[in-house]
Amino acid sequence: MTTPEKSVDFLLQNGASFLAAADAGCDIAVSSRIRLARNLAGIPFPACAQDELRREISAQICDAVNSRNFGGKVHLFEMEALLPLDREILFERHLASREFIDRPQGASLLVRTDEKLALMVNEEDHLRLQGIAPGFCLKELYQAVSLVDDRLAKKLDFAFDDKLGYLTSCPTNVGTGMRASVMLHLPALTLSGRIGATIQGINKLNLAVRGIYGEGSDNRGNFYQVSNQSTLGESEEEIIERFSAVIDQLINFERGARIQLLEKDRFGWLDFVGRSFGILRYAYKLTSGEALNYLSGVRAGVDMKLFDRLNATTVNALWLSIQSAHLQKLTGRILTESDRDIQRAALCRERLRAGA
Amino acid sequence: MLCDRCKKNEATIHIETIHNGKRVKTNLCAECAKLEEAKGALAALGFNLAEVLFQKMTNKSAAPAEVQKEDPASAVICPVCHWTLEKIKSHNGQLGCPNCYQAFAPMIEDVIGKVQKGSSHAGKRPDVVRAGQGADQMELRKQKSLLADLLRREEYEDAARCRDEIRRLEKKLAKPAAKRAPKTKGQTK
Ligand SMILES: [Zn+2]
Ligand SMILES: [Zn+2]
Repeated sequence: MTTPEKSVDFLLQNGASFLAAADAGCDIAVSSRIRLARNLAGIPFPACAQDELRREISAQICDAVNSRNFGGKVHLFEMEALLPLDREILFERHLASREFIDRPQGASLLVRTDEKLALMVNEEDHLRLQGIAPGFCLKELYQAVSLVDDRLAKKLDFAFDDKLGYLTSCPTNVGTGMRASVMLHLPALTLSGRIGATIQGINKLNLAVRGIYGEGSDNRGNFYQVSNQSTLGESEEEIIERFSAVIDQLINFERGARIQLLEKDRFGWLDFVGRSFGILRYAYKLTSGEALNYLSGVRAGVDMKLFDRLNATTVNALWLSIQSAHLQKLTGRILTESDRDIQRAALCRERLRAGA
Repeated sequence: MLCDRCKKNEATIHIETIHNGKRVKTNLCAECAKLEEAKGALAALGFNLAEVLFQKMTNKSAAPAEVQKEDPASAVICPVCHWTLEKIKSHNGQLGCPNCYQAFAPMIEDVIGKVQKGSSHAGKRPDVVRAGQGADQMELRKQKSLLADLLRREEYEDAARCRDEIRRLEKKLAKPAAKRAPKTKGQTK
């Protein structure tokens, strides 16, 4: 089918991909994602398969995927053929996982032009089909992803067991093989010190929470990803229903915390927004951690309509382009860490000049 | 207490997560915690739960090294991919192939009991999809959850109508289900 792409550069014209075109409804739930894990019957999982077999699996799956069953033009990226920086771009754009780009042999990525639909071949499972979109839209997203899964099921023989459902490489995904997740921007809950209790509450509901940026539990930019843990025993619709109810509640908590901050600590909250803008607008060196935290403040200000000429799309685009690989693509050369800090600050100054 | 990961150093970091109301404790040494954190896994511990569980399972049954050799669980080999429990453990609880679910059934059942909400699949099925009835199948699941909702709200008239619709869909879907291929199909090559 599709001939492999030589570079990822054309994706950069998509702007902020999954964060793009964010409207008023996307202020707290920044983006949603549905991921389905599928495997070919009778064939060793990617971790167990030799490189040669992984390439065969990849060829078989890529053969089954075409623009018609993917709902739009589909691009093929073979990880082995890409430069490390290009692979990193795919990771930063939430199209590929770290594990996936770390073992490039036979690892292929199929992406629809709008980046809202992607298929990792030979990650932990033979297929990881993902749908991603701005805002809080799990139901619509599942329907779209499930439709592609249906079309693929007519061409590929998926490993399926009557009792256990779709068989996945890890028993934590068995059954529906579905992971639903929502990326939440929760600055007020974080600033008011209530995020810890909130996370504990979410964990009790058998959902997982993690910081998006930064390493491990060191969360930066006040971004959290919440996802379902259980994949067996409920239908896809039931999982999404139950999960969405929790997300709705979290959105309300954050809204309430923002109002409370404005009432109780008005100047503290405004200072967070104004100081964030000031630093991003005038700094000459910014680490990625700093930039993420200040962007969170600016984004909160945009949500509260405190800026006349600054919109969410500008902030979203910055969120994506201050990451190292994107910065290096933008400047067109490999940068040392301190060079990156300088370029990152320059980018923020330039993009926010039109703001305020 | 020894570190769950390297089993060499003293564990100084203890993490508790809750799954299906059950507490799962992970104990790590500072070194391993750093490694885990670098992988971004510390916060996403839920996803690596299988690793922790698989490790615990074999440790519990065999403290001294000599006993471990005779442990029947560690002698099992999957006939399709030739992976052992040891191999699965070294891959963070990932299995070797779909047939591993049969080869290591008792152990997997145990893991599933700890991490999953239920024990049998209630979602979509590829055979029904292939028979061109994916839409009916999805509608059936929607109606079923609607029925539960209506009964909870005590709206019995609508619930009766909903039940009729469920019966109709079930009848319609019954045909291909009867012709369903045996579950081991394609799993052994
Ligand atoms: Zn250790
Ligand atoms: Zn196996």
